[in-house]
Amino acid sequence: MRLNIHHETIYHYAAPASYSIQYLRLTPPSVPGQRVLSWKLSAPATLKPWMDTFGNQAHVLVIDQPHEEIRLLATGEVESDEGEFLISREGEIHPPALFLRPTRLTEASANLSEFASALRPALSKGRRKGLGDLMHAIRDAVSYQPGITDAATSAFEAFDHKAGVCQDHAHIFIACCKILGIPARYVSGYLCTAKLGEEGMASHAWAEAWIDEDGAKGWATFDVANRTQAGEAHVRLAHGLDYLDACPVRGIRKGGRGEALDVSVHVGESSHEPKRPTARESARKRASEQSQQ
Amino acid sequence: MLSRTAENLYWTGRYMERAENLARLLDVSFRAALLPAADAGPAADWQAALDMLGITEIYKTKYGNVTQDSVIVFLTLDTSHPFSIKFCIDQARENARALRATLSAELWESLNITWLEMNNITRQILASRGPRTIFDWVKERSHLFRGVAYSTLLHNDAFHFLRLGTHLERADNTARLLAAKERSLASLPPKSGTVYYQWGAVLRSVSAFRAYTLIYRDVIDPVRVAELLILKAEMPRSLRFCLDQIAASLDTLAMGRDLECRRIAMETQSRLTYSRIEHVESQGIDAFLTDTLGRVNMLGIQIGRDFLMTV
Amino acid sequence: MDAFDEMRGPNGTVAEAYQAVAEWLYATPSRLLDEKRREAEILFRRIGITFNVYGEDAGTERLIPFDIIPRSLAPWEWTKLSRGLEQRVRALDAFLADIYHEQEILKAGKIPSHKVLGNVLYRPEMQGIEVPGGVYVQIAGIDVVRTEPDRFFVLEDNLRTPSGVSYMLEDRAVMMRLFPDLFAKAKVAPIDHYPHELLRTLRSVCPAHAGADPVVVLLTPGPYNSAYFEHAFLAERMGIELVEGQDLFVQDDAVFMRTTLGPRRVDVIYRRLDDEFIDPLAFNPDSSLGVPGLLSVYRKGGVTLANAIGTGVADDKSIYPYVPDMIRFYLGEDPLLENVPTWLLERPEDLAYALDHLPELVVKETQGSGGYGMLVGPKSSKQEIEDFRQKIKANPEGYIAQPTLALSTCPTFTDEGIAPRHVDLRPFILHGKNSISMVPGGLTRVALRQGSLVVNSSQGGGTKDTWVLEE
Repeated sequence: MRLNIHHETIYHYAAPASYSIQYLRLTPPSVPGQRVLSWKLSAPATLKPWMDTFGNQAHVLVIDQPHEEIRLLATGEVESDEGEFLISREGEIHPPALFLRPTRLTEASANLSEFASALRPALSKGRRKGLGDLMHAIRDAVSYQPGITDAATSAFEAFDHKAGVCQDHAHIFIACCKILGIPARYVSGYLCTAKLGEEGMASHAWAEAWIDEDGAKGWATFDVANRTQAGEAHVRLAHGLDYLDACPVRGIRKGGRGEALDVSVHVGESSHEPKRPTARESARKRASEQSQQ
Repeated sequence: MLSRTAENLYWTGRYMERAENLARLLDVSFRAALLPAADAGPAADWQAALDMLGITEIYKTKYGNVTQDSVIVFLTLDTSHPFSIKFCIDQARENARALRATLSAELWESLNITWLEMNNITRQILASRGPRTIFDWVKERSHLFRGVAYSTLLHNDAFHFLRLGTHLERADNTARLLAAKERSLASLPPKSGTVYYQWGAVLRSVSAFRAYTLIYRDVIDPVRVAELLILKAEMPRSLRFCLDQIAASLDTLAMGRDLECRRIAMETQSRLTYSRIEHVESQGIDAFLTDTLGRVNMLGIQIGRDFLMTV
Repeated sequence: MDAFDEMRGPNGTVAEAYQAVAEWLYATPSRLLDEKRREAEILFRRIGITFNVYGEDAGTERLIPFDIIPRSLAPWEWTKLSRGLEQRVRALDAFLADIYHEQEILKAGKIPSHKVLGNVLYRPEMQGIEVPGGVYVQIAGIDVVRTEPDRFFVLEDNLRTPSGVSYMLEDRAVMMRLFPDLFAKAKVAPIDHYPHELLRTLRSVCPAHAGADPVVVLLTPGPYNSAYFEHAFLAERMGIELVEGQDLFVQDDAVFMRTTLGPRRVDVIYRRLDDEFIDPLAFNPDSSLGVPGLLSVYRKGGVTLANAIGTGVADDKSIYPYVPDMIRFYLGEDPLLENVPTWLLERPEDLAYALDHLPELVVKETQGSGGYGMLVGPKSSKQEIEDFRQKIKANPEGYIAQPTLALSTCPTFTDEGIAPRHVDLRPFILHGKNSISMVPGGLTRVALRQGSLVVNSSQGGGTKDTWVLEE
C-alpha cells in the first residue's frame, strides 16, 4: 500500500529564544516491510545529518538567531507491506542482547514483574505466540486514554495508572520482555488510522521483540495499542531502547519562554481519488519533549 | 577570552563600584541630614536617596515611614533588593569566585576579606561603630580593590573588562546623582545657604570638594559643580573621565573590529569632550544628563551583545 | 596483621630508597618537623588547595591533610611498576576498542556478554564509531597497593575522570620549598612537567581537521564541584581555557566556545564531567552542565573527548576481575601486576563463601567509589557486619568481595610522633596517539588513623609526596 505522509510541527515562543538545538528523527528508513518512495524534511535552518546511536537517520537543527517559531515539515510517500515477517538485524550496529539494558522509562516494579512472570507458561509454547498473549494481556490491563500520562511516565507508572497512550503500551511491553529475558525495543513512526484506526493517533509508537526459534531470527513487531503487528498501516521512523532514543524531536533552547506546540499529521492512502486527510491530529499543548534551558 | 569570564569581570567591577557609590550616597545623605533643612522635613534627604535609586516603593512596603535608621539599614545590610552594600559585595565576590584562573591571588584575597568582614557587620555593629565608620570602610575596601587590580593584574583584556564595569557604573551613578540634585534644588534661590551646603555635600560625596576649590578658587556655584562633574577630564568621577576610560578600553578590546558599542562610546565621549557648560546650561542640565544616562544604559546593553554571554 | 613497612625491615634495617629520608628524620629535631608541618599547612591554605574550594561558607573549606614525610620508591621498583601499568592501560584501551566494535572478547566467551552490554557504564552511543587517534583512555589513574617488597596489586582502575594529580604536583612543590636541602641530597625524579605532558597527549589525539595547532579546553562542572580547584589548576598550568557547558555550543557539526572575539572552534575537550551529563539531548535530559548536541559532533569525528564516552565499563568493579584475561587476550602477555583475587557475589558459590567469611573480607559495591558503600571486615563490629550481610543478600550482584590485603606502611607524622600508616599509590598514565607516558611516582594516599586501610580523602585520608629515586 502506498501512504502519503504530511507531518508538520510548529513551536511558538511568547518571548524569543536566542539559540535552539534539536535532534530530529523524522526520516523513515527503507527496511523490510517499507520502501521510501520520496521524502522531504524541511526546517528553518540547515539540517546536519548524522547516524544516531541506533543507526537511525537523524538530523541536527541549530538556530542561533533570535526566533519566535520553529516550523518543521516532513512529507513524502512510503510503500508498505502486510505480512508475517521478521525484520532481520542485518546491518544493525548492536547485537539483540543490547536491548535488555535497563532504562528509566522501561523500569519495572514488583507489580509489573509479577504480571509479566504470569506469561511464562505461554512463552514455553513459542516465543512469538507467547508475546502475542502478552500484548493482549497488557492491552486488557491498560486502557487507551490520553491525558493520564506524559512523555516522562515510566512503564510501571503507566501500568499502575491502568491507562496510557501507545508510548506507554510500548514501554510496558518492553519492560515485561526484559523481565522475561527477551530483548525488546521501542519504535516510533506513523499510523494510517483510516486503515487501522481503532485506537491511536497518526503519530504512533510500538514495540519489537527479538525472536530466535525454529530457525527464524529477527525482530517481531507488536503494536500493543492496536493489538496487532505492524503492517501496511505502519510507517517506521526510528527505534531505540525507549521513547527518549527514538522520539521524532528532542531539543533544548536558550530563552524562549512560553512555548506552545502545534502538531498536525496526515497519513493517507495514495490513490487516484483527490487527496484527502484520512487521519488528522492537531494538538496544541505544552511540549513535553522540549525543555527550556 | 571566554565571554563568561569577561562577563564575570565586568560585573565584579560594576558591583564593587556600586557598593562604593552606595556608601558615598549614604555618607552624603547623612551629612546633609545634619544641616538645617530649609522647608523640607528631616527625612527629606533620605527620601531623596531612595528616589534617586528608584526603590522607594520596595522600601515602603517593607519598612513604612522613611527614617534615617531604617534607610541606612535598608541600603547597607538588606540583601532582599539589589541596592544594598551587602548585596553588591556578595555579587562582586560571587562573580569573582568563577575567575580563579584570571584574578591575581592578591585581588581575590582582598575581595574575599571584604566579603568576610561584611558578613560580620550586623545592625548592632552598624549602630555601635557608627554608620559613617562603615561607609568609610567600604570606600577604603573599594579603593584597595582597584589599587590591587591595577598593580597585580596583567593589563590585558581582563583588566579592561573590569575597568569597563567600574566606569560604566560610575558614569551611571554620577549622572543620576547630579540629575537628582538638579531637580531637588532647582526651586531654591541660587544663592541661598541651603544650596551652598547641598552642593557642597554633593562635591564631598564624590571627593571633589578640594578639586573644586583648586580649580575654581571661588564659592560653590551649581553650574560650575555641573561643569566639574560632567565635563572635566581630570576629575576622576566626572562623566567625561568615565567615558574617556570606557572608550579607551573598548578601543583595545575591539581589536580593530567595527563594534556598535565602541561607536556609542565614542559618540558619547565626543559630546562630553566638545561641549561647553554654557551650551549645556542653555539646553538644560537636567535634559543633558537624562540624555547621557540613556546613552550609558544603551552602551551597557551593547557591550553585553558585543562581548558577553547576553544574546 | 603484620604489614610490610616500606622504610624499615623487621630487623631494623633501612631500605635503600629511604636512606636519605631516614637520615633526615634522624637529624631533624621533632620540634622543627612540627614547625615545618604547620608551615606546610599555611602554604596549602594560601595556594588554596582545599577540598571543597570556595564552598558556600569559607570557614568550612577543608584541606586534605598533607604528611611531610615522603614516600620513596627505588628506580627498579618504579621500572617494574610502570611497565605493568603501561601493559594494563594498553589492554584496557584494547578492550574498549573491541567492545565498541567487533566484541571479540564477548564472542570468545571470556567475559559474559550481559556484563558488558547490560552494564550502565557501557554506552551504546559509542558502538561502531572511530575515536580520534584510536585512543579511549587518554588519562588513567590506577590505584596500586603493595604487600611485600616485590608484590604490587592493582586495586582499582580509574578510567573516567580520575582526579588527584594537582595534589601530586602541589605536594612536591611544597616539599621542595620546605626542605630544599633534602632534595639536594636525594636524587628525586622530577614530576612538574606533568601539565606539559598532559597537553601534549591531548593535542596528539585531536581530530584530523584540527591541523597543527588544535584548540584544547578543559570542561568543568563548575565551581561547586569538589575537584574544581584541580580543574582550574590544570587549565592554568596548561594555558588552556577552563570552560563550563554554557561556554560551549554546537553549530555546523562543530563545537564552539563563546569568546569576546566571537565563536572559536574547539578541537579537544578534556572533560571532567561524567558521561551522563555531557549532552542533555542524548543522556540525562535534566543536565544543565553539558553541551546540547555534543554527541552528534562527536559521533561524526568533529571533536575529541578525553576521556572518551563509555570508558567506565572498563573500570567497573564487576569487570575488574577480567582484566588479567584481557591482557592475555589482547596482548598475548602475562600480566605484570597482580589483580586482587575477587569473588563476584552474583555467583552463588562466591556469595556463599563470602557470607561465611565476612569478618575477613573487604566487600565493595560494584559501581561505588570514594570508599563509600564498603565493608572492611576485620575493622568492623559484629553489628556492622550483620547490617552489611543484609544489604548483600538483598542485592548480591551489586557487590564484590576481596581478601583484606596487608597494605604496606610508611612512616607518617602523627599526634603520637612518627608511626607507620597504610598507604596506596595512584600513578597517572597518559595515553596519546602513539605513546604512553607517565611522570615518575603518582599520588600517595595515606590512612591517617592508626590501623585504618581506607585512604580516601573523603574518609580521613591524607597525601604524601611520592619520590622515585634516580639511578
